[in-house]
Amino acid sequence: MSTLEERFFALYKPEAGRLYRTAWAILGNEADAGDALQDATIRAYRAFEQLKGGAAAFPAWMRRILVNSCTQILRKRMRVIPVERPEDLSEEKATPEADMPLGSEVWEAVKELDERYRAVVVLRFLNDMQLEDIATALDIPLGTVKSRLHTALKLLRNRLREGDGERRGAV
Amino acid sequence: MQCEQVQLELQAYLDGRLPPAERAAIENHLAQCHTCAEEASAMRDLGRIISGGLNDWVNQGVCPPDVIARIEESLRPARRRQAWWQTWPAMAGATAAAVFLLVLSASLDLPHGAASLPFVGGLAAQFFSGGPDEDPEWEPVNQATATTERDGIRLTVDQVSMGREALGVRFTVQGEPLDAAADMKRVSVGLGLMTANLRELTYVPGPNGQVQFTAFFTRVPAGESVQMTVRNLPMRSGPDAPGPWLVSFIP
Repeated sequence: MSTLEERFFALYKPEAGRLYRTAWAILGNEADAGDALQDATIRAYRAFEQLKGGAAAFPAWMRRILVNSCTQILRKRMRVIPVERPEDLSEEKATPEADMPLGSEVWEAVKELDERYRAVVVLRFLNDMQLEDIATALDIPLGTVKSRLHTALKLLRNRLREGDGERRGAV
Repeated sequence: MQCEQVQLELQAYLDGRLPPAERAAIENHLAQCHTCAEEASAMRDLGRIISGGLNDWVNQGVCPPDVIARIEESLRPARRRQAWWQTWPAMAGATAAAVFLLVLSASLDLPHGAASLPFVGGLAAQFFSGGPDEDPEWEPVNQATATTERDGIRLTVDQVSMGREALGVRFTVQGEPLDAAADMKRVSVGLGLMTANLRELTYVPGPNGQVQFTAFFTRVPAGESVQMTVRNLPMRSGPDAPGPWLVSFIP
């Protein structure tokens, strides 16, 4: 008969890679990702016996706990963000239809964003959080979430277009 | 509505999160404004690209082994076990008898060498696998020291180990008034409220007038603070010092 620990890790280990990169995406660096993952795993382990729905429910449940751990860290970090300054958005050039960028290319572009933009992009598009929930999680006004997302998407569009241009040029 | 204002609301609009009045206003604007309509379409495509790309990247993720190892290590103290008498109900009765004998032997002045109380040692070996040599799950869980001092004698816990069924505590007693060469047969060691949870007590006199004890107790839940009580340390001049020496730690 398996122990609590064995049962937990049987469900946890297949998710560990995804969880690690999710934390990395939200927090922007691997060291923080490891810390957040450790914190979240301990919390999940302690609450494991209360989880209903068994193995099928585990991944989403675990991910929710992880996102909470991450946003807790972000709330502390982002508290001293100064006044929002408009980013310098270089003029967008019209380009023909792009090839679908690779996952790694998208991550490279997202990774380059300033933390306040990266956080809202990741929470919205990786974690499918609604804007109001992002506002609550980060303890910032909804309007700020909207404007940061708007700016972030403009920056990403430029960045992904550049990348596409480079790829085509290299051929 | 101004285009700038509309564009700020586009994501919320695309997500279906706007209240009816605002949604209608946006739709109205998009019907008339080509630029913003294009922008809405582009945002929807971009959202899919970002979502797909990030999910792909996450799905390829591997957690570094050292992070996994660190996490497993940090979970160990939270491991929960049944109390030994629940796992081995048949032994509970027998061990209760052993406990009775232990209490009895402790109060009788049994002669023995500078080693464990032989009764308990033999019984203990039968009823639990205590000690690093027999229990493969034996491991030190706490290297932090806990220390207390009274009557000129200092007691220092320097290692706590946990096995499947037992908790081991290694501690040193030292001080000028202490009779380190004396027989320790009257020393009483207990954990928490029960002094009868001691399974085995061994001791070794060391240099510098100290004595190192190793006490094995019935295993307790990990992660919760426990208090160890030591009484009746032999003194060089006069009767035993009753103490008690109290020290707390978290196994």
